[in-house]
Amino acid sequence: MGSKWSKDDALIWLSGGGLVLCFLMVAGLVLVIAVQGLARFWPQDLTRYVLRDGSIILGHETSRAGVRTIGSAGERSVAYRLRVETGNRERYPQGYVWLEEARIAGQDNPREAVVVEQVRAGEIFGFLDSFVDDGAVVARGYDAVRAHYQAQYPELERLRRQRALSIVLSSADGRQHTVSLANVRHIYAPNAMTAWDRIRHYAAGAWSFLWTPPRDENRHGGVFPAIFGTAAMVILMSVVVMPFGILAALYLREYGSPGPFLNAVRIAVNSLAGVPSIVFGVFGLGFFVYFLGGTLDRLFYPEDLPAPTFGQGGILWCALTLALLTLPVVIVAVEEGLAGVPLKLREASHALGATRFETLWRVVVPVVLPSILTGLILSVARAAGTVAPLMIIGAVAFAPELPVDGVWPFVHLEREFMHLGYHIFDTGFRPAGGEAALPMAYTTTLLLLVIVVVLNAAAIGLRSRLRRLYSLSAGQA
Amino acid sequence: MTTAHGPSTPKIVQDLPVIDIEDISFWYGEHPALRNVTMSIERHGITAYIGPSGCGKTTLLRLMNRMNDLVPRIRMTGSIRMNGEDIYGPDVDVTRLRRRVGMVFQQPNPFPKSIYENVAYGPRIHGVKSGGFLDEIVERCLRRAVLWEEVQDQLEESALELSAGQQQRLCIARAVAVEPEVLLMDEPCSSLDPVATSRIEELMLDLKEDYTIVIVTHNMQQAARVSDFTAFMLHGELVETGVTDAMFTTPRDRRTEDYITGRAG
Repeated sequence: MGSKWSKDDALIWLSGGGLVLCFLMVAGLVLVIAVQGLARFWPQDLTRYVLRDGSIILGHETSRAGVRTIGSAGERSVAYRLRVETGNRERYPQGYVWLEEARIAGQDNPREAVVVEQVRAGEIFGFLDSFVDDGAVVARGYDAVRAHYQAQYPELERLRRQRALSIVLSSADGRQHTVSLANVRHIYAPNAMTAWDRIRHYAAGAWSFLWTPPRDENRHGGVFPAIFGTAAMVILMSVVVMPFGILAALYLREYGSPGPFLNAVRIAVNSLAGVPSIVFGVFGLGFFVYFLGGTLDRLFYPEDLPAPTFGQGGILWCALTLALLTLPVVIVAVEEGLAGVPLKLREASHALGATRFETLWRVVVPVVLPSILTGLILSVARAAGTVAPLMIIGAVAFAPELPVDGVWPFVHLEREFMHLGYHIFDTGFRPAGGEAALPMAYTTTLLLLVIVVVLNAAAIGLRSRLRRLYSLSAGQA
Repeated sequence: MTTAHGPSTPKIVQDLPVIDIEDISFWYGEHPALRNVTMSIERHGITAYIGPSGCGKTTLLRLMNRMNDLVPRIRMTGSIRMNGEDIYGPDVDVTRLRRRVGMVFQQPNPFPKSIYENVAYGPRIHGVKSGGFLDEIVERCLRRAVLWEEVQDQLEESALELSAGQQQRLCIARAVAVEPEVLLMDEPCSSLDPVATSRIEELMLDLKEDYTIVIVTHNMQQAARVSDFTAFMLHGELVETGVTDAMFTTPRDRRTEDYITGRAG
């Protein structure tokens, strides 16, 4: 008796421990992404570091790392250094510097320090020196320049087309830098901001992240084209995958007679779900892009050859490839739904003289509708999170045009497009841009995570509604 | 010699029988379910099948509207004629047959639709499109099933919200809506409480004016209360059939007597 109990206990602890471990890993991942992704729009204080050698650097600390050092006498010690974001990429190409704490003589947070968000070339940290209007200095000093800028702001668009407006910034160590107002998106002084200012700044940043196109090689700006491209591609995919998936499931469950053939089809469908997604990408490239696209080009766009129209990666081919990828999800969901339709409902319909088709269309399909919607949402969630095949058949880091616009024929299925998943890959791992775009990757990851979680939650909600429906009809009987 | 043949069946109705079952044997795969069953179903009467579980009475009932067609691997010999026409003949339209032979099942099985749509389902699939005409049919059938007073204000609500007894009466209204000649009832009260059961029984007595009713029941008191004719089945064979009162008072077969007095079955 005793040994039996201890085995039970061990199993409980083991399985409970496994659950806790899983939960902690997921929670940790989500926490890291959420903290990094959400912090991006919060205005951070600018710090002026005065170094022992007399140089002065303005920036904000992003991390602190310990470095082991061995002194001349062989004693070991740990020195800390700060990673300080500096902006001003013309002067600091990487956008950050490492500062050993031992080198820092003093630091403060000057209220007048401003961040200038540029349209191109990132941010500049510095102090407002003067406002120049067609070569003439019209304001000098922090308060005057700021007041002048704010007074002009409503008309800035018009004014800067007529006159050459610029702002002269002085860096922490006194060097002057002129910025044309045409290149300025926004100026703010983070150290002088109240909590309310910061919240407004945060909200505006988050808003423009969602609704504006990227700037500066995806380092700044928003992800609107990526959201739009992902949504358009997924909608296109749903339109293709749903009819095929539903019809296949209907055949498997309603019309096909059980036997080796149906079993083989089921095994094939389930295996399809296990094929690595990059294999679908290779298939899409070979079959859709080269074969179908190439044929279409020869038949309908011969005047453009050798420049490909459909014979290159594009949103249509991505949608078709992902439709293949998510087909098993739809088939399995709809088949489960069909299997759940009680026999007594079908019998009731047949007993009234309904044909097989009438029964299917008027009784079975309405009951299965929630399952169909569940399959749709699951396949959309899967498609929104799949990146690998898209990298070789049409998703790009930066697409100048949306796949839908005002130019005839308005929908351009052959165009390459931006995709949230590919955007993460591009901003997070692109070697050329260094780490400048890394914060962007976290925010986009968070966005994609939120989209997928919302879709899955909707699927679960639908499924539980479906179960309630059955328990009602079965429970009363 | 276990079957009771046609000539010995008493006739209280002048018309010919609605359904003639002749020498039916039936197998599920290799398992025999019915053996040489022969009997007639009289018009405008209630015929009750009684017998222990697994004796084949439900199988026989489902042969009368060919519901067993949907079951795989079945085999049948013999013939069933309705108004003289073989319902298993090559030219028979099964959907038309089922329209003439309605069925009410053991468990109430309304569609997960509104009360109105449940009743309108049959007429709709048989081509009734006019809304006004459908409204008339729905009201008439719900009145026929003595359900109208209870549900007239909630016709658009889900049928699944009704009580089990109301659901079963709704299923009767739904079956009546396609104007069948024969109504098959497969233990229609087995999942209902006594009050709901007695309402269904009253309804059956009322409906037999217009329809021929065939009921399968476990409940011998029910058979005695409502039926005009009773058939007793055992192990796939028809042991005895006759006028209900006579059979319950003076059964001819020893096995029938054992069953109705509770000594066997």
